[in-house]
Amino acid sequence: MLYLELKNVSKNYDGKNKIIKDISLGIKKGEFIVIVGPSGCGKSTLLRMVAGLEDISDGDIVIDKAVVNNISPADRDIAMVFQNYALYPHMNVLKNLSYGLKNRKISKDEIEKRVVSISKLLQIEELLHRKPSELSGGQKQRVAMGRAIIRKPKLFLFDEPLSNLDAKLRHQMRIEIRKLHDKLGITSVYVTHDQVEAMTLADRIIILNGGKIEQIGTPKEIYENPNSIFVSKFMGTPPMNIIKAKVKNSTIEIGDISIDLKNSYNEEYIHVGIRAEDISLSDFNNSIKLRVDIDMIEHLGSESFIYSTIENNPIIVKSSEFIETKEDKLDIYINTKKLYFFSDKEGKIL
Amino acid sequence: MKKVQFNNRFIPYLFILPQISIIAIFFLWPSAMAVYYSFILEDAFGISSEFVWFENYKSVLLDSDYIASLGFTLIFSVLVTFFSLAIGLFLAYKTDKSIKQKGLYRGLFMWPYAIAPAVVGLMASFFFSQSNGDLYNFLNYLGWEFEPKSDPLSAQIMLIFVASWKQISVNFIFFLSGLQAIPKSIIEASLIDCKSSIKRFWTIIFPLLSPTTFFLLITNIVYAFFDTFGLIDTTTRGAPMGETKTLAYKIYQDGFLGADIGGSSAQSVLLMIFILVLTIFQFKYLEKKVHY
Repeated sequence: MLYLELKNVSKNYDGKNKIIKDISLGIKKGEFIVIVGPSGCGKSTLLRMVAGLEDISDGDIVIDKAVVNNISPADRDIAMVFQNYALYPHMNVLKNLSYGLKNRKISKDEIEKRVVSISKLLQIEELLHRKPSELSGGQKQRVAMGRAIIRKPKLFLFDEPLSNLDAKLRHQMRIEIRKLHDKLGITSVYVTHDQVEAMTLADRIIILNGGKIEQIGTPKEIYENPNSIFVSKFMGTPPMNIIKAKVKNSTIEIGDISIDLKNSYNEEYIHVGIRAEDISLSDFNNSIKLRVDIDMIEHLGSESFIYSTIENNPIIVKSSEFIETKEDKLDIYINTKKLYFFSDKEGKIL
Repeated sequence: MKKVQFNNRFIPYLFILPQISIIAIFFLWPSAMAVYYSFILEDAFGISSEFVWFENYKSVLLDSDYIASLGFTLIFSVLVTFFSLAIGLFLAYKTDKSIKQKGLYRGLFMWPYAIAPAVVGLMASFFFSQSNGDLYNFLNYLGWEFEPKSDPLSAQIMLIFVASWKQISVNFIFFLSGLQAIPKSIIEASLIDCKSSIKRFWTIIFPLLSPTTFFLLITNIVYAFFDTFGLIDTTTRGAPMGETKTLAYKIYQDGFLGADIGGSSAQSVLLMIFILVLTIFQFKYLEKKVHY
């Protein structure tokens, strides 16, 4: 049973400038969906169209079996958490929480009951009489979440809610958001440009690129079976290494080694993908050796990243050892079972 | 804040000297003179003068003309401030919400700002002229016996109308920039929280505009008290029988035309005290409701 449905949704300004191009997707009740993509891919616009803050140029948006195209944001029964929190600066936390309920003519007793339980849940009981200007970033974030949760909406919309927080707090809030979702089970759509947030929060990830859906899938599916170069490079830190190689009679040549292709392929070039963790510095089964030029080594303590190149293709190698070398060349071993092949023209998986 | 150290301790005073001298020459000195003259009774030819303590104040406060002028000034200021603020806010809100031709509206509503009060008065006297004024004809055509030259109420309404019209553009500019300073996401959050746009305006937008409104309230009251002088001087000159004389205009008439230096000085000191008290009151009580 689909709870939120987008049917051939498009968005353009003045008839040209297509920002969202014919997007269709369905979200089940209770699902946590993360829409991820680079800046300018239209992910925020898409979310705002669901919220009713942007018009829909074409197509239908259906929430709980009702087409909401022409329904005002207040009547869609959605709640949104904004990037800069958007708390009402002239109201204290209590009034911020209850404003939406008061306008929906919910009884005073009920409002009070909900405020008590929400402020307990989010641990903001002591802040109820403070103004937003007297709160820290993390506290504002909690209040913004509270203002959304207290409404008990059909749908939660998150517009990059964590991007104004520092790294540590972001990590903490990320975990809390997921816990809250597991507790409350409200269908959520979460927009971010941060692939780590997408991987850790989502039941399913939607990757958006240039106003189109690039791929939909669970984090595991997306990571293990990216269907394009774009997805493979976007998900995962560091991004997947892509080597452009020449094809000769269904074998490809990288440096002085050659790899056989399973299927025939009739373009001149092919893109070979390999993740940093599938490269090792020592020999193992099913591996082939490549000799690369070292550019730089980065030590993070628990692991090291070796930035290198082969035939002008950058390759990043992840190692759990502390690598120190004076040489400018290095032998690396890549796992031939973990290779991905992408077409040259479209960048799609083969 | 960075603290700057000067080698010579007189240098800071040198820097504020221009500002201090402007205040001294154009405010402190004339104010002191006004206070001084308000205690002096001079004969009509300026030959002899006598120190009379509060005699001038007493005669001013006992003068029924002065009380009438005070009454008119209060009503005039309240109405001009109210109408120019309300209409300025309304136009700014509508302009801010409009998607097409925003720039055109903005430009058109800002134009009157560039017109000097005396010119506004001159234009008004054309529009309301008995001989062939368009608004005069129109109002009379509607069946209202509108006679600003002879009927006090007509004259007062005309002044309030023109004085408000002049000030709307200033308020419009400030309100528009105030509206544009409200973060878009707050407006959007309120769109989700509240369906009624009227309620949204009063619960979210109006409170967030309060610093602008407060500033404009004070400047508009000061405008109505003082800056409408040129307007009155070019239209009614206090006519028909002094019913359109504001306190500032009465000071000018009594002092410069009536040569009653002592009396008009006493009036100007009273006006100064009145505005001072009013402003202190506004800062003390109204500012608490302002959210910066």
